[in-house]
Amino acid sequence: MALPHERQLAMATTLRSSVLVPVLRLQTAFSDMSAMRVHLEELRRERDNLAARVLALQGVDEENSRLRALIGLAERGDVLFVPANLDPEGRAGERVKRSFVLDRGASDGILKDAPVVAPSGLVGVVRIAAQGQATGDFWTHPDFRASAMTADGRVFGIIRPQSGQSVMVLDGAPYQVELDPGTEIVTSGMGGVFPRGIPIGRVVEELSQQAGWAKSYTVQPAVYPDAVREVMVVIEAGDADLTAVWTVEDEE
Amino acid sequence: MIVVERRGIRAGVILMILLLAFLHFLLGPLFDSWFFSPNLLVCGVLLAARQIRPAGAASIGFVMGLLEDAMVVSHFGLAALLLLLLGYLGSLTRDLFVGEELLFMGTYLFVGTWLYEAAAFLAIGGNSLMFVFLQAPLDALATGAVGYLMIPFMRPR
Repeated sequence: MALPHERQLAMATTLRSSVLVPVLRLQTAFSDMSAMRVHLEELRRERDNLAARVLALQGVDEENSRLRALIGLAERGDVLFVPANLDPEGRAGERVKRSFVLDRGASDGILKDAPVVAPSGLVGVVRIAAQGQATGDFWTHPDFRASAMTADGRVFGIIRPQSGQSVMVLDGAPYQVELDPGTEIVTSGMGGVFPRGIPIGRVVEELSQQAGWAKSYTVQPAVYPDAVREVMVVIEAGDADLTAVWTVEDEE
Repeated sequence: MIVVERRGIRAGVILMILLLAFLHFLLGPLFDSWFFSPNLLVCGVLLAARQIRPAGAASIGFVMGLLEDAMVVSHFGLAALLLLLLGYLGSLTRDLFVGEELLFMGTYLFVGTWLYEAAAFLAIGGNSLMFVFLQAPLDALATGAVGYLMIPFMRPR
């Protein structure tokens, strides 16, 4: 318990990639089997509906590829992100999950400190990437920090989790600026870990406890750890601004 | 004769721990979806602790705890520490209570599991009385039931 957090995750990953491999494979197989059974009927219904839609949408795929190439979204969608299944890990009675395991790893291009996102926004960050799996922290982890700003770029601060709760806190907002409830908070791109423009959440209210010449606000997260299973891992972001990715999605 | 018996017990203990640990990790996702479930890992450590010396029981507890920590990732080291202590204390009960009388073994498994689950819950910052006084005792009862089934493994054949 006294080990640094990253060493702890490295040890866990080592054990998961060696002694525990047979159990994890069996677990995955059982889980896949039960999920398949549950979804079989659902999939049959969807297949019938989709077959009808495919007929109606012939030609749209070709048009989509052309348009993506035109506006440069192809690279943004296919190269920057790796899809992965996320498994939240926690102990019995643990109300707020703090860490997760992904079913993709270094062999898929996932690196340490890679941001993990979902269609609604920021999920967390990869801490250890091994072959075929990666371990990371949700934004609820006490060590999690992200440089953030309002969507209009007016106010900057640091996002951290509020201890033991599924709520975030925006620290370091300027004292003279008032943020309205509902103001959207996104990553600012500073710090080199999270690219600019990933939705984090929305301002709820100003915190009553203030320190120094800065304000703190509670932020309603865009993503709750318990509600996310399929995620995208950002593997090549550089200085990219991802605002458009979510803007396009919102418009859709 | 005594050496052969001891070997039989030791083989039984190893087999039982491996089986319980395997089932614990394999059935973990299923158990998670139940309101209460047996803690097979704690059961294995507690039963093994009745058969071996404190240092050995603590070592087994530590190794099993490390595996548990690797599976749950969060709060790494907590299970290793608690199971180490549980194994050690469980082994010390050999000096106080001799034999495998059913009422004693049931109480021993119940108290051991309840203490482990309550301590782990409080250590991660939990504050739900329902978990400590309802879910953890039910887990402990289920663990005791599994423990009864495993007792034959502990006897020399």
